[in-house]
Amino acid sequence: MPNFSSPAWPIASRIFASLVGGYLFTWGLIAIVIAALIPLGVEFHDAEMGMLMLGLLVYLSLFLWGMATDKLIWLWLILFGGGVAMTLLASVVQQSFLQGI
Amino acid sequence: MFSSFRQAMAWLHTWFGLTLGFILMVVFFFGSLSVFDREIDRWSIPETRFEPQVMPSFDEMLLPILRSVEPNEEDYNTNMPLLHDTSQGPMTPRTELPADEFWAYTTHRDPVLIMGVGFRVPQPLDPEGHNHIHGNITIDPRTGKALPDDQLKIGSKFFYPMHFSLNWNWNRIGIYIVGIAAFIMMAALVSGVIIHRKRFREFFTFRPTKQTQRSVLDLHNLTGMVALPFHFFFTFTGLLIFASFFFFPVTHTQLEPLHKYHEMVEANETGLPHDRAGVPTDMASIDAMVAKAKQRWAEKDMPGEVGFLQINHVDDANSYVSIYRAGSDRVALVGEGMHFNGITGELIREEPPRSAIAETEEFLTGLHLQHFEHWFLRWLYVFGGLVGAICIATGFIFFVEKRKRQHTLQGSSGSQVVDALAVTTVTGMLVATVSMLVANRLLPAEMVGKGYWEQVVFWGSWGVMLLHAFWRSSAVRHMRISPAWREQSILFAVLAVAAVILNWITTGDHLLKTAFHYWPVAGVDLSLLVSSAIAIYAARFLKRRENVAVHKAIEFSAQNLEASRG
Repeated sequence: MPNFSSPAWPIASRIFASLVGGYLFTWGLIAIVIAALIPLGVEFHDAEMGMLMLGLLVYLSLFLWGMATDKLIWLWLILFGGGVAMTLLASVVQQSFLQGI
Repeated sequence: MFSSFRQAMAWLHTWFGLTLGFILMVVFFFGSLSVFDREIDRWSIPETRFEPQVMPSFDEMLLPILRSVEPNEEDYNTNMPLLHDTSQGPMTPRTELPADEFWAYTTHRDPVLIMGVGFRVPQPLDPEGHNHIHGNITIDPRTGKALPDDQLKIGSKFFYPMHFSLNWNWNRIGIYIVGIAAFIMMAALVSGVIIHRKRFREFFTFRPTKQTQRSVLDLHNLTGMVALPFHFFFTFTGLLIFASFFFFPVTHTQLEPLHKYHEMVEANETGLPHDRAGVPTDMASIDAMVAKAKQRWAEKDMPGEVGFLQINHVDDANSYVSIYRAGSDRVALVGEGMHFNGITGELIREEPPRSAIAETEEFLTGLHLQHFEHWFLRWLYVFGGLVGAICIATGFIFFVEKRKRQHTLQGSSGSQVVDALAVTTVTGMLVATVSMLVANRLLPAEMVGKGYWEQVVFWGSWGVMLLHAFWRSSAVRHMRISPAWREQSILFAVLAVAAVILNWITTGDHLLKTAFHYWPVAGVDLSLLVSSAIAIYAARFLKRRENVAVHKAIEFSAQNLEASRG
């Protein structure tokens, strides 16, 4: 049983949320934007490359924010909640686009 | 938890920098060596010390050689059982696999020509997959003679992969570790600037004669700052190169259906057949296609030579040939690809002008991969990488200098361990690298598994340096400088000179002969000698500092003694 009152716990939670949550959020963002841009007629590799370049910078910013913020609850909610929501939405958008053609 | 943003950034900078800095050290150092990977190949395989050649006649020389290539046994044994569908019958024997793809690749720095065959798996489990077993060959393009392929190209096949994968290929874990380290490098750069933003002048201050902790921090800030755009840019583009396959493989996993759809649309647009027709057909002259491609490049005002050539769906009615231009005269990796029908020899597709995003991406990754022929810029890369290595190394030393007193008083061995690991990743890595070069010259060329033993020497000597660093590290606990730094510097200096002398003895190539006549070898020799001289200087400097530190350590123990009595 981990000792949640140990001083190592908040920092471990913060690192985990910033690294993994930040990654998940970035993944979701990349996925949803690509999935949304293709039906709008943007070339596939343009959308992909543009989002990868942007995604790396977004991930970096999220990570730095996560390491510094006071609001750990928000950190968890936004990164994991937002990440999962955008990832799921991306799959839905993709499916409805591919079905429509 | 942190009282300010700046404090949070300082925490991140210190602890992430410390844990992943050891990886970054390897990445920066071997990245710097990779700028001259092909030159190190020439040094380590003396039979290949000749001038780069243009791609020879495909029809007359390369095609017959490609037809004689056999699938690699290891590749077959590992991948054939995975790709083959047993319900359709037994596996096709290795030597009977039909060729599906031929390719040949050359660069302006490669005298040897690398070629390969992708063999088709006739009864694949997943018909849509990449069903290839490979067989590669390296030849002397002047004669067509095969060069022994079991000799390790130390530069391009060991130092270069070390840069991005640590040569740890199990489940590509090395690539992921380097990826995390690179991401942390970006975070460390940003946080480093934030920590010191209030005292901007500090970035450009260097006080080498002050106490070690002060001058090391100066050097850390200076090297981080003057090359900040370089560090950030290379880390970012390095991540970008691997992003779509490894770090954010969104379009290869979740959005794979969308990707497949795009490929289908593209195949329709380009007219390049995605699949074999299944009708065996003789192919047209490849040389004629090469001539046509060169003519088209010249018409577009960018005359050039062939860098990469690939024949898809070999000997099939659907075969086509893709010819890419050698891009050594520009930064962006643009191939200006020309695609020809393999049967009729007609030009079926010329790659259209690229979009702004594609151009940006090609420019960014091209800048990182530096295929261009610009020696001044290449050397600038080497120095940029080494400046990064200095920045990381001084980070370790600052960590130790700042804390060793406190750690000693608390009875913690933290500083001691960090110092020993820093010795291992700085001087130990240099010793391992140059040991490998010495082993390369000492082991006979015809020895079976020579490349394997060279790697054993590399890792073995690195391991010995690790043990040595820990063995000598107790000095840190006594507030002194670990003598391992100096001792490994001397060892490196001796081995570097030995490598140059051994190169002379075993090949007859010495600097008077190679300088101005064969720069690849002369450059490696000269770099070894200069590094050796720097190592000697560093060792002498360390000796002086060690003496000063001894006096301080005596004072420290005296104070300690008094404190414990009082």
